[in-house]
Amino acid sequence: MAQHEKTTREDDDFNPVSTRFPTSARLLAAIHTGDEAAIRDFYLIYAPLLCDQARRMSIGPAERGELVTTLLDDVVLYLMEHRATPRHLTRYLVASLRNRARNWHRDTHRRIARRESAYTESRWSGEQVVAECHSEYGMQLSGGIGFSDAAPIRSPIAGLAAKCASQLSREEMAMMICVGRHVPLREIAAQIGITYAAARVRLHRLRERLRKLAMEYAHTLKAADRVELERFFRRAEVDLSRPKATRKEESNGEL
Amino acid sequence: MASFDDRAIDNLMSAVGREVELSDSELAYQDERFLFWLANDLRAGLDREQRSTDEREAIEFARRAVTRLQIRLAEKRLPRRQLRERAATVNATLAHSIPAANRERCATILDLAVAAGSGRELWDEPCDRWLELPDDVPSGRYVALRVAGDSMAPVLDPREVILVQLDAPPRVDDLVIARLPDQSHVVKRVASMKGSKMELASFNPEYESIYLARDPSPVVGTVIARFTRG
Repeated sequence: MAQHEKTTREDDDFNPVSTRFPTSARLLAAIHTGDEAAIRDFYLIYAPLLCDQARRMSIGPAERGELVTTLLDDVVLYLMEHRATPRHLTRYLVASLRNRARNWHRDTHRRIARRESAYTESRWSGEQVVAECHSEYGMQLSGGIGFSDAAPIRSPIAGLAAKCASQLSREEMAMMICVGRHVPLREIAAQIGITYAAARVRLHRLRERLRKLAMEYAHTLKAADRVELERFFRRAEVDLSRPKATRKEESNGEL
Repeated sequence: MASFDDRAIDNLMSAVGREVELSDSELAYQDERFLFWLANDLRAGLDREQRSTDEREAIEFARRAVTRLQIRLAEKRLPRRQLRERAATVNATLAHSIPAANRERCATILDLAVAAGSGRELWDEPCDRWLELPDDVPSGRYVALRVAGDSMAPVLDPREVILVQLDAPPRVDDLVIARLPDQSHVVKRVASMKGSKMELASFNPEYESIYLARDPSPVVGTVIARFTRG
């Protein structure tokens, strides 16, 4: 019973935000008063997460820092000015970043399209082509869109992910994301609000289900796509490096 | 690809999890607890160099955020108005000009830079221009001063005119005119009033704060409006 209570879903303020501000409510309250220490902690806690989210949303390394700092700047100012208290501060920040990242991509695409149109429709385009001397190497070095390390995976895998998404429950999807982020099983159990043993069983069942789904899916693929899937597995073994902080825990847990 | 071993399935789960996370644009499957765990995990994964860089950036970020808020609040409190000035009907020192200007709903304009000479009293400065008070400003003792220097930029730009209510008790975050020990006058923001000390800060981060004793009060008056020339 005691163990179950430990693993059941708790209120919003479950984790200490920092030693000075044990809950996000206190952190927000301190930010409202313009407390510099609270704002500093706010930056320290959320900047790495938002940088990671920006990387996952294919924002180039050169723009990432500025995007995150600008967002945090604006959010802090908004929180202080309006004394706003978002119920889920982390979700609020991540959602804001995603919105900005989407806008950033949209603007980048528009800019590229406008520039490209300057070559083909020079008479009507507002952009003027002065000179053209870009090598492929130079283009890659400039780190434009499409050269990011976090580019989305290709269609067979995306198809498999979509297939999984359509067949998994909400809870299983949440579990899958945790697995993707190498969250320790105990933490997954706490997040879902079940016991560790139950989480182990669910994860085992999920793995078996996914195995079956992958098998079925592989049979429906054409030869070229199947090769792509194989390639993905090979790449996944190499590329899906795990965060340093969770490596120790992995050896104890299921993941 | 005939069968999937455990490792392949683990990899697949990780990759699918990543895909699901990326496509979860509405954050339907990522709750606060998960994201907060992730924030802590990523922070814990930083190496020493990254941590110290983050610390430095965080301090700078906090300082900038507080300054930005103060600027925003000051901008809101003191909207820029159109300057309407005219020749004074009485040519006298500031002390004598104030009551005459007040009777005609005006405030005496004084160049703060001129008044900043060491050893000179603000009240002994001669005045020949008046500022017409806006309709929403109640009657009272006012003086209009021309700003010199950029320590209060971007709220107060050089050559802008500010309307100062004399003898108004200062509060934290007010913009005030204070007399320094060398008899010069400055316009600053009251950053704090703790114990017997008063901290006067600038909006421009290049300028250091000034600390003055609260008693006797060095504050001449509080800024209640700012004016620009059309």
